[in-house]
Amino acid sequence: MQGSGTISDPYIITNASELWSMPDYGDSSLYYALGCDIDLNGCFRNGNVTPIPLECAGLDGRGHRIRNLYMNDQTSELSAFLIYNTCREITIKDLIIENFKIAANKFSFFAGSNCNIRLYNCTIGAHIRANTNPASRSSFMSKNTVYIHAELCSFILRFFINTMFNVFVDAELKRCQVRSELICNNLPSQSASYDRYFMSYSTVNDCIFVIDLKPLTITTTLKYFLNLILCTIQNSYFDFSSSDTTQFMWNNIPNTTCFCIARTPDTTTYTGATRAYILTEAQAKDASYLESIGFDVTEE
Amino acid sequence: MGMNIIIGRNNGLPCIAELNDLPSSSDMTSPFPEHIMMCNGGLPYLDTPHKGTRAAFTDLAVKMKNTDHLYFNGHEITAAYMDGEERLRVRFTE
Repeated sequence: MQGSGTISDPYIITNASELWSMPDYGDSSLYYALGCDIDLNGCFRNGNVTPIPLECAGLDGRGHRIRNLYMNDQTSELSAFLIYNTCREITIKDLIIENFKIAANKFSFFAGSNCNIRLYNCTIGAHIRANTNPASRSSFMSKNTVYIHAELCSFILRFFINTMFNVFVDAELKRCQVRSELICNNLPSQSASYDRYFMSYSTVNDCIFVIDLKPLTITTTLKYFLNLILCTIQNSYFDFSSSDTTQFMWNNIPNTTCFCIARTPDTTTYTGATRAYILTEAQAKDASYLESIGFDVTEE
Repeated sequence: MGMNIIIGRNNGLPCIAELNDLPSSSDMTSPFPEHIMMCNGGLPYLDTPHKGTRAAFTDLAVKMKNTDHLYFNGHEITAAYMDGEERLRVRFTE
């Protein structure tokens, strides 16, 4: 690869083989950058269910894309990126991940341990099919002690899942937006388990969540609950739609005004909290109204 | 820093000014799996792509014309085309 692996002269990745070659260099202090889009469609790696290894200090996408990663092993646990144990902090910036389609028994986007992943100005688009959560206190975005710190990032995620588990856990999201299409086979009844929430143990500031829930199995006793648990959440909102009866709960009180736009049948129940408002779309488009309830918004 | 309501952005809802509006999930995750195919006796199969597969594309096109429907792993192929690197790609419904 061209470059010397320093932050000012990173190694330049130009194809799939080089993308998988970081462990060959074996140094978590090295820096890499994409020199072009990497299309994995038809790549020899496809079908080998081998995650993209991350052993570096930084990966700069330079606005390029990694696209079309296909993995399908529904009896195994998979991840899109595997962080090597030598890494304690990795910065990924200006990267577009597009059309990752992964079917697994268990899945997490970033797997590893004791590492902070800092995402800046990245876009992640993935279609994930999975049966269960990868591990306790894990999520579909990160496993075990991988903490995601994302700023100015967009996540476009389509999940086809057997039942609901965390999408984010131990995450810090700042000025991010998330579109999450959740196709759930079995809806859980309410449980105290923290791993059945959309998000837990996370910090959220100025974020937008567009969530479209499509439950496949409906009974009167099973409800999907899009709770937030043990999160610090400020000035953020959920645009929540569902095709059938669900339950939306603010499980903890936001630290500043937040709201949810309800696009659901009349049978949907909402449980609010102090500083957590349930608004109509018209109210959510009204800057004066939003300001009146304490939401920090400016009309331009 | 807060959010912004900007005319023409995010259907009038508050947005994050520095970011583009969220694309739809179909824009970021193709509704169809997209694979590179080759022909083996008229039947498609997945293979490592290489250039110069125009003959295989012809075979596939002829096969499609003759049968109207072509399947891969039980899924009907809905489109076939050559990409910019002259690799054959097909799409099929899941």
